[in-house]
Amino acid sequence: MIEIKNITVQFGGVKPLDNLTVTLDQPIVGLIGPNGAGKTTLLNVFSGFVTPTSGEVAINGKSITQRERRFDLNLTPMTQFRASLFTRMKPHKRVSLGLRRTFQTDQIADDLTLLENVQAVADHGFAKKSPAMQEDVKRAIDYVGLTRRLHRKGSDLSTEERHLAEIAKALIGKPSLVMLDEPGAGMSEAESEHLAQVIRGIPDYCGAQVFLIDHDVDLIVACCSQTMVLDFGKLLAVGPTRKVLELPEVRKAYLGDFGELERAA
Amino acid sequence: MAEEKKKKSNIDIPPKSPWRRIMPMVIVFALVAVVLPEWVSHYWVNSISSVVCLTMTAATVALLYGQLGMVSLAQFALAGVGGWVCLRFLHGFDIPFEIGVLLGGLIAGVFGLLLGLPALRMRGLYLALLTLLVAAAFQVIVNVISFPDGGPGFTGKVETGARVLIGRPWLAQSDAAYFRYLMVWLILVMGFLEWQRASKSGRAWALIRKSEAAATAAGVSVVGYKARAFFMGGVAAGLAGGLLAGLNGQLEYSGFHVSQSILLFALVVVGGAYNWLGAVAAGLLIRALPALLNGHGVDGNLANVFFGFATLVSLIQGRKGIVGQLADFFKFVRMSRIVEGTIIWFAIAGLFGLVYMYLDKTSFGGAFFTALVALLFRVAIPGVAWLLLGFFGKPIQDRAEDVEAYLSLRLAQLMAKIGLIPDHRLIKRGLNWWFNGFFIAWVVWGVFEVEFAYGLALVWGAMSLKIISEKLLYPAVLPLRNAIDKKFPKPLAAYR
Repeated sequence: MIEIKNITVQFGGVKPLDNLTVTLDQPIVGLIGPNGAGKTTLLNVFSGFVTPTSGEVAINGKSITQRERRFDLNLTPMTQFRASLFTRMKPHKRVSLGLRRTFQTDQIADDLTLLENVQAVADHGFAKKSPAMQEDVKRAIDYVGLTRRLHRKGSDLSTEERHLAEIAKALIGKPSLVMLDEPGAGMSEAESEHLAQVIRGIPDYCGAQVFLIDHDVDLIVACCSQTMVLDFGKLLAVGPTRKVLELPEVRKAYLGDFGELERAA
Repeated sequence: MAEEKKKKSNIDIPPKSPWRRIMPMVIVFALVAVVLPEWVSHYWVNSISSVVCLTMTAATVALLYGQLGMVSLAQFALAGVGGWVCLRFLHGFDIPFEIGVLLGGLIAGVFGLLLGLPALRMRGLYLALLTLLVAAAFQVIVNVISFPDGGPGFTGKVETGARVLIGRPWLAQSDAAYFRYLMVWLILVMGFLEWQRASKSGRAWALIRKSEAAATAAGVSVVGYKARAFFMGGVAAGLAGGLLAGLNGQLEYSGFHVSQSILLFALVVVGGAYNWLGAVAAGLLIRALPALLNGHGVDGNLANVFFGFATLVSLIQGRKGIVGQLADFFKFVRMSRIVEGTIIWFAIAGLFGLVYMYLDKTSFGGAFFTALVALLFRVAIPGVAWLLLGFFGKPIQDRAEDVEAYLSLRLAQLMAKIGLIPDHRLIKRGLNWWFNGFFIAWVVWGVFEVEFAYGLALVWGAMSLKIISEKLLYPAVLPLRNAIDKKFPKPLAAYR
């Protein structure tokens, strides 16, 4: 379960996220919105690359946002320093919380094999090298259906295979939240179908909640039971996918105002 | 059944374990260590010994550049730090040589780590500038305090009289023995670096190279792994410096000039930063080529002209370096041809080795090696010649290709008319023939002291023998070739 409370992110005069409050409790949640709506910024807040100006994000009841650093005269400097050490969780440590994400552009290293690419994630997700780790890597690759490409170099994989490999990387260890940033970009219809099947199976595969960002509305409809729509950093709608997509304001944000066009004509 | 077979062909051969990846390197180095001192002259044993130290330093540059894309121009200065510390400790205290070398490596590693701290925030040009300035600062400092000049005691300076040299380790007193001793160090150091590349660190570096954000999201501590690379690079460079000090018993501060650092980086790019052989190529270029020129009575600094040219060419040609291009070439060769080629090459080389040894023109090894090089460059050189043309611009390269194609076609038609087998690559082959013959004969004239005419005969003989044996043996080897093709139907790249 993702609880977002009053999240605001401000870069100078730009507010990619503006006082966003929402609770997402379905196993697969979709996030749509036009370009610049703040989708990726929200993901970056989750993974710790962006510090929110204010607000809090909790995943399964555990807060993951950095505490605001403000001076409290009642505390000694040392206490404040210690507190900041413990509340500021470094991005790469968030993996241990079970946060996994993929990126819009796939991040498969060209000169490593597929196995090594996934292994690289497992290296840091497990306490030490164990047979369970090897097993987990093989299982994740098998789950996305790439076992036949196990020892191919990253450069020899197709776009679809690279996206699937990214998903396999996100399934290593014990993920609690898998965030997928446009996994369907550049895929054909048939490939998209396989992808949807893979995404739908993730909650059963490892018990993780899935947070899916995509422009492909068909993919969102096929996977997500709950969808939220962002527009210019503000929450436009949230609820069951089909209902949300039928809302007139969502259509307007996505497709533009037809009435305005007609008037102009 | 058919389905099962199809499934099987899709599964590639499992990847090599880290140990199996470094094994070829260890075997090659071990062979070189055993055999080389027997073949070459005294002058060359010393030159190749310093090549070994330079290779070790080049490997650290390649580690930082190839694995993390970070340009460090201070690796040579770090070697200087290692050498300096090693010399000081050996002069000051009565400790074994190895302890001095290890201390030098350790302290250079600490310096490398300090150098790496800004690198955690910088990249590209700025990092290169910073490391360049550190190298320059090192040069100034050793200039002022004067490089260990062999006086007695820990801080000793020579006031009067000759320098005191440090002794070599007790089991490596002679030049050949010291060379072998160096090779053991090289195997240990480069083996360790290769091991790191093939295991957890290497995978983490690969993720960082791809994107730091993605590496972070995968749980990789970017800072930690960058610092680790800088520390390892510093230690290895420091060890190389200490071993270089042991080679001559002293070091000259002029040997650690800033320009050497830049040259080393350029040559790692030329040699190839993604392969252990690239570091070897860089070491050979920076030390063996000037030594070769000097051996012929030509000023060794002339090599710099070649280096500049080679750097330009390798930047035009996609940054894989000499070794990367050779590796690409072999990737697309089929297994059967490799087996066949190896057998024929070694047979020819062995034959020439025996003949030359019998005629007392050179050692068996010298002739054997020369013949192998001739056969290898037989395939590689036409590409290089065309590449050099590309230096003058694409239109000229294209025009030259057109002219060559036209002439070759006419020549082939002429040959067909006379009744010979037409060959559309006759001009390229001919150019290759001349270039290879003169170049390799000139090199072996210096290294193995073969007379030029005999060298020429050796190169051309090996190449023509290869063609003749190809034609004569074709019916005989065809079943073998087919059998291997059946077992390994794909090019080499599919079986890594």
